[in-house]
Amino acid sequence: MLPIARHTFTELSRDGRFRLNAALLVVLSVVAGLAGWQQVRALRAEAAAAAAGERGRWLDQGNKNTHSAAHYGVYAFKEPRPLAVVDPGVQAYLGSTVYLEAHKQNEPLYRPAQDGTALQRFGDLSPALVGQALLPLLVILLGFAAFAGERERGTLRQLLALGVRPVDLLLGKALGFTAALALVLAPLALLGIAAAAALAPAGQRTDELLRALAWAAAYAVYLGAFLFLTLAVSALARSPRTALVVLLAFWLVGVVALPRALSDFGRTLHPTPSSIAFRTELEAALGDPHGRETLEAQRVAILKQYGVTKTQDLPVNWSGIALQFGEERANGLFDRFYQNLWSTLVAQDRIFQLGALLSPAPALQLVSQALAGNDTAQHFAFLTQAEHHRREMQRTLNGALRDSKGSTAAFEWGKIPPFVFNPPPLTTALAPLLPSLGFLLAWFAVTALVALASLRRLRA
Amino acid sequence: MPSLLRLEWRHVRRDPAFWLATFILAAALLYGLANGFAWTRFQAAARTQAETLAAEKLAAARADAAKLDAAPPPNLNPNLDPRDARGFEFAYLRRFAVLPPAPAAALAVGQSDLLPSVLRVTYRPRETFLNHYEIENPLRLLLGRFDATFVALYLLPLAILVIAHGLLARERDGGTLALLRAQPLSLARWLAARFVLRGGLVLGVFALTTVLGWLAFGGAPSALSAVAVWLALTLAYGVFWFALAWWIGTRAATASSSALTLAGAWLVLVVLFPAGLNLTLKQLYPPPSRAAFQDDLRDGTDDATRRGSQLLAQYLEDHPELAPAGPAANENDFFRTRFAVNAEVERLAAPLRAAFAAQLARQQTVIERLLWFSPALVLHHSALTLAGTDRTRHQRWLEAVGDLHTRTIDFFEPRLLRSANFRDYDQVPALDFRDPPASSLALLAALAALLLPAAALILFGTRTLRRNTL
Repeated sequence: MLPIARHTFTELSRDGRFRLNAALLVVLSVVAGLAGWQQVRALRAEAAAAAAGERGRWLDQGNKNTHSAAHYGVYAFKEPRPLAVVDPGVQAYLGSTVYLEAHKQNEPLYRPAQDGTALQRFGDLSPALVGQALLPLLVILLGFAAFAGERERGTLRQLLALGVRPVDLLLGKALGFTAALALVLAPLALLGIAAAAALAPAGQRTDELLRALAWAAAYAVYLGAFLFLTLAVSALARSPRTALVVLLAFWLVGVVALPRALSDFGRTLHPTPSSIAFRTELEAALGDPHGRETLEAQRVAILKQYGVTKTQDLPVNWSGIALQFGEERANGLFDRFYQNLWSTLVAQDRIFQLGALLSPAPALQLVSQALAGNDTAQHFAFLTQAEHHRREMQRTLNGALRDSKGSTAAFEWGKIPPFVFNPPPLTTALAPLLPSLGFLLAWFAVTALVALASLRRLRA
Repeated sequence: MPSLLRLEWRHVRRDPAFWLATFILAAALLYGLANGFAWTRFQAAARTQAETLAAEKLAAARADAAKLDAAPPPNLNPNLDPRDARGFEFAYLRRFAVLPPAPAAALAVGQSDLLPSVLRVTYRPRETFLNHYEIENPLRLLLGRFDATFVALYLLPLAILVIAHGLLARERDGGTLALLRAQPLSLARWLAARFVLRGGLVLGVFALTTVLGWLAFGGAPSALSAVAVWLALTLAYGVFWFALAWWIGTRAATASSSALTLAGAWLVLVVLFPAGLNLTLKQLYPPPSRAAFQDDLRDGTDDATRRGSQLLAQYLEDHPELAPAGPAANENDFFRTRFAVNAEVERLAAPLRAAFAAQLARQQTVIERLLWFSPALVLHHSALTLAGTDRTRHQRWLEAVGDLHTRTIDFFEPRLLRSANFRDYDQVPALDFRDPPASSLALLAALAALLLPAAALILFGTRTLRRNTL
């Protein structure tokens, strides 16, 4: 087996076509990765500067009514994750800042893609794109003739006549190809590890490093599945041309067409409402946040609790209580509306995940984005934490208003902490993707078994 | 030639790969059309919702105003009174600027799922309403839509690859080439018959599926001329790929190497060149920072609010018609100050916003110059323009939205100060957006950009073939 592996590897390393393509892919992904690196650093510095400006303005409000400050609000900025260097995921299509103010859960603003041209819809060049779409193509290019070519040239019969066991032939060739592919995958893996080590904040470094390692492992499994599939088809096909056409067709359907088709299918099965319908319904449910009608029962209860007949006679400031009551009521509605919306998006993604039954690509795409921290679920984590911050902020500000009898509270603005996003740890991020991980491993196992089974055809 | 075609038909009839590729292509095209129509129907529903809401609220304003006139209540909040400009603007006016779809919108979703097309324009600063996106799964935005243009752009060339790779080399691989050469007919004519028959069939099925699909999914027959233009572009793109297969086929030693070279060309022209160009442009002309934009705007707004009274004095010099005539109510000063602050925020935001547009325009200019190097970019650009889902049209619409914003400010500011006795329900400004007539020159240029290289490839291929035959 080892001599075959060594022979396969030597042959490949001397093959000009392989060397050219491999070098091209490595250069492409490293250039894209370094551009991503620069962008992560720039975005992070910009987000940090804006957050510092926001904090300064918040602390510098002087003598102001706390509810005015609540309306003034703060902006929470999302910093890019270190592994955006290898997989920017859906980052460009999500808002990067969210306004936290009184009465409202706002939607995030400024999707980076809105400032780009239509060209970006061809796909952002990144190590992830290279790994997901182009490396499988390289595997096909390397391996389609592995058995079919030998058979056509008549060397297969010779090898078998020499007493080489087919299984050794398969494993030897697989090992040789793996060694060659490792040379291409290694720079991508190193880029991820370096990004995690250099760009992660101290507290998250271990988590990000584990993510980088798992990221590289996921691509290795994915490419392994493509390798076994290629060898199996090559062993089964009548001619190298047939093997090539079948494999190209699988790649085209499984990697190029299927992900788009699935995501559109997901939308058909689980449609999202239009933005205007969503907002109109939400606004109607919320009503007027300062409206008196909704507060009447609450007012009567508070008056009864303190044994007075007028809000002016209360020992506390009624406005603070009324505002907080309004917040609590609205929070319940926001939870209902946004949970509904988000669960629709999650359901769409589940359809996408099921597509891994047909091709390993959807599974890898989801796993890769999640490991890089740039999937939809981790964006929801950002929004949830930002919203939690907004609610705590309102509670504190309204509490201060309630406890002050004058309308202008001399409030210490530093009592509201700055917003800090704590990204979910690796285990939390991966939990919803266990099916995808399972599919990925299953693809590897099944293609390996099919490749072994196809060896029976070699003697035919 | 007819007898050659008849002979070739016998081969094609029994070629399962040909029929499978053609069938999958047609099925994908139908799915793409269905998706495009589903999206345009969704957008139409959103537009109807916006228009219905606006009409209902306007009708409610009139009805409530009549009721209030008939029986005036003792103390009504002016912010809820439709007879008061403030009440009308705050509680009743729900006017949306809507980007109307072009007739062929269902053919290419383009940028229409990413950029907002329904905006509620008010007199408040633009940043408060410009960023209202449509709800969309970010994963779908990343992957892009499976629409008819995707099928044409990505799948049509790959179907051509499967069908037309190594049409010559297959004979060589099979050992029948020598036999063919012994026949009293030119190799070029024989090969041309193979290409013409296969190309005619695939592209014919593609065209027929498009037209039938368009009508079956409820596309307007009046838009068929736009569909015909899209088909002309798509078929020219198909001809280019057949021509490339022809040229590569005359040079490739084996059918496999012909397929590999075609796959490589596809990768470079359809994937790497556009993605590489995008990466380069983002490095050369990066958009300004949105975080810094937000930071600057916030600082500017704070500063303007602090300088409110000073700004108001300046503002009234520019707008003497808004200056208080008699003893001004405090409330009016609040509004005047707000207008002055809004004007100042707009003055600050305009150049910042322009910086984004300028970088985008620079990128766009380079793309328009370089797109001729990739037939995929030519088709993509032309298809999006035709479908009205391109960036340039959106930018033009945003300019119309900006103009509506200015007119809205001019309309409301004096009326908000006058406040009471508002009856100008019919005079609220509306969006003025019209598409310029389609440029037939651009279409001809695109067709030329696809067909001229195709002609050159056919010519070179034929020359190689003649030389080799001799």
